[in-house]
Amino acid sequence: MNDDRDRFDLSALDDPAARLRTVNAVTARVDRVLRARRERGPQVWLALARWRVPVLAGATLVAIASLVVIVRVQPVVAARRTDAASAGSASTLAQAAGVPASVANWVETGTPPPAANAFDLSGGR
Amino acid sequence: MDMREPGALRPDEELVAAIRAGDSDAASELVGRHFRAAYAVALALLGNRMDAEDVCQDAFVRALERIDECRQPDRFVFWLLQIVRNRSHNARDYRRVRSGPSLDDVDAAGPDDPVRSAARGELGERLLAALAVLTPVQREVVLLKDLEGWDHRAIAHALGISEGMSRQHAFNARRALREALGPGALEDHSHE
Repeated sequence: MNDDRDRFDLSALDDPAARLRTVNAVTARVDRVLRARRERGPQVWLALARWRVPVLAGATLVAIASLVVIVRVQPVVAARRTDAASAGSASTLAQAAGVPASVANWVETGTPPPAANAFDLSGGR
Repeated sequence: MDMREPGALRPDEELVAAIRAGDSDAASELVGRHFRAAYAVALALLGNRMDAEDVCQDAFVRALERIDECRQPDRFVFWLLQIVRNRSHNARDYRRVRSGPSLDDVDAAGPDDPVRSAARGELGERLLAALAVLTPVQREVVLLKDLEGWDHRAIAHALGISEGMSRQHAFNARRALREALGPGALEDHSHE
C-alpha cells in the first residue's frame, strides 16, 4: 500500500482553463461585496468579536478572584465589628485608631486589664 | 518588518484578512490556489466537469461573501471544501429531481463548446468513466491524493475520516481504476 509507488497520473482531469474561468467569474461576482467592504473600512464589532473569547476569559478570572477576596475578607471585617462593639465605653478616638478594646478601657478608666487578658494585649504571642 | 522572501506565497490567513478588508487581488489568489482541490471534490461527487465547475464557482462566491464566518483562516481550505461538498450534494439532489443525468454519468459538457472540448481528451474521458465505478468517497480520496497531491492526514481531516481509512480508500480506488483501465495504465512515474 505504498502511496507514491501506486500513485495514478490523473493530470488529464486537470483543467487550467476551468481554473482561469472560475477565478475570473468568482472575482467578478464578489466584486460588489469586496468594494462595499473597502468603503466600509475596518469594523469595530468584528474586532470585538475576534477578542470576545479572551475578554470573557479575563472577566471570568476577575469574577473568581473577587469572590475569593470577598469570602476571605468578610470574616475579618465581622470580627473587627465585634471587637468594636465589645469595647463599649472605649473612646471614639481609640476605636477609630484600632486600639484593642481592653487597652482603650485601661486608658480611659485607669484600671489595668485582668491578667487573663494579658495574652490578648500581647497580640497572642 | 516582513521577512518573507520575494515571491513567497502569502499564507491563507493573510489572504483571508485581506479579503475581509476588501482586497480583490487576495480573493483571486485564494481562489486560484484552492481551485483544484475544490474541483477535485466537486468532480468526485458530481461526476462531470461542467457541474463541478459550476459548483466550484458557487462555493467560492459563497465562501468569499461569508468570509467573516471562517473561524480558522489558516484552515480556510477545509472550510471551503465543506461548502463545496454541501453544494455538490444540493446540485446532485436537484439534478435527480429534474430527472437529469445520473450522478455517475461521465462528462456531460456540450460537444459544441470548443474550450471545454479542447480541455478534454480521450484520456480524460476514460478516466471519468473509470472513476464512475468508484464510490463517492473513494473518488474524493483518490482525486485529492493523486490529482491535488494532498497527504492522507489532510484528506482525512477534510472528509472527516481516519488516516487509515483514507489510505484504505486510496488503495481500493487505485485497484479499481487499474482494473477498469487495464494494467499499467496511468501509473505516475514522475516522482521516481
